[in-house]
Amino acid sequence: MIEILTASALATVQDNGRHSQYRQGVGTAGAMDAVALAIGNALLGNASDAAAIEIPVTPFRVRFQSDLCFALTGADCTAELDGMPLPADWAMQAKAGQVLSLGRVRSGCRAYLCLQGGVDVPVVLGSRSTQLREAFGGHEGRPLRNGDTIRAGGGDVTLPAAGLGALLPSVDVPAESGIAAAIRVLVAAEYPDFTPSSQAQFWGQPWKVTAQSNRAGYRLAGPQLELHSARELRSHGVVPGVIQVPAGGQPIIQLSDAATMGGYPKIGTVIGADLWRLAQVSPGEAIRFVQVDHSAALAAEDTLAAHIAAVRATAALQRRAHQRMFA
Amino acid sequence: MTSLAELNRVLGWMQAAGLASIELRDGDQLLRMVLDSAPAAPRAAQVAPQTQIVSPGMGRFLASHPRNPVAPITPGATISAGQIIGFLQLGNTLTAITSDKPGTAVQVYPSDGDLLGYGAPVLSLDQGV
Repeated sequence: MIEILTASALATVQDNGRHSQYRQGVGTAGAMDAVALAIGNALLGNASDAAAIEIPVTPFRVRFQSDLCFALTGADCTAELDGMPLPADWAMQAKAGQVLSLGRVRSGCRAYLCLQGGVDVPVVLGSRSTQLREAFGGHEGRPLRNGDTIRAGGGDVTLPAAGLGALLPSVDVPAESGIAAAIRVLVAAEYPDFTPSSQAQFWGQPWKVTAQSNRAGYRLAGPQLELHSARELRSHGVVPGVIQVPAGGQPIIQLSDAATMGGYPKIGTVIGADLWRLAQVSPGEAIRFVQVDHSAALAAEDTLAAHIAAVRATAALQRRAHQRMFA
Repeated sequence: MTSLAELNRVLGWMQAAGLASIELRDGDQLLRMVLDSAPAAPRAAQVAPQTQIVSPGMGRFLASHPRNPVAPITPGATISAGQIIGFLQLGNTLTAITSDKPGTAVQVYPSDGDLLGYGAPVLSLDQGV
């Protein structure tokens, strides 16, 4: 068990998301940075659908009420276990009474605290994720508060004494100065309805992630995108990653807590393999869109899955080697 | 691979691992140590004031974490007990090399990217008196 000592705004329990209820109008929820969640679970040997605590704002402090292995992944922030600094993307054994403190964020904007055996909350409609708008799932259907106690699934895990870490997947999109992330995008159904100059600006200009950005979506600021002629669309299904352009011409990227339906024209869709990188772009930072095709999007997904599978396999090897040495 | 302290360290590993003999090759130098089945000879007294931090496993040595590149440890740096002095990369995973003692760094043996084996020297520390 862990006790939440300091929970800043909107720390929630999230897993891979609630994917079976879309037809009921229930969005996916789930970890914004699914790679951070997967890597944390892989380091601990947790089931890949285990839930963790998504922490969008520091400071954040928890006290371990029993000996427990944990992994801290995602945003790179100064983190200390009883004053001892932890490297990024790191799993450690905590002793009962120890306090884990997350401080200044160096890069990224969402940290994930994974626990041995996963965060133990009830599965509701197929997932442990917090459905914030509908107020169910996760821990009592709400963000965590100071004084909450969170149970972990537990189980047998032995980590090297100094911990075990993982490398992040490499991304084969070149870095650009002044751009937090180049995000790969597929064109969407209404792309041809935008003027050629708007299409060129969409790919060519940086887009600032505004302060009106959260788990539901990122509102972007940049050149005004225009359609050939105003269009009325019937409401239709949208998924996380869809980039809508409302009448003002400033795009919105739908994310984990987005509604399942929308009626704005869609200019593109962020590929699934880049949603985790987008999730770590903070308001105020700029992104750029890079056009890819369907096969490149699938290849990127395969690369990501292979990286996570390799972390899982090698982490298991490292844990076994350690167990043998100290058995 | 010649100081008394290093030989004692290897001897300790052999005893701990139950090895009867060991061969260590370093370039054109070969060191062969054999333990009799008889009780081990008394170990030479610890004479060096220096202590050596060795690699706890095998992997590629990284002087700092890839997400937080910092200047590598240089001779003269103050090292605290428990401090991470480098990382070992194995595939996509990392383990930490920590110093179990405080002291002043005398020499860092591996360069960034070197492959290290179990027990390879990483850092020698002057523990003062």
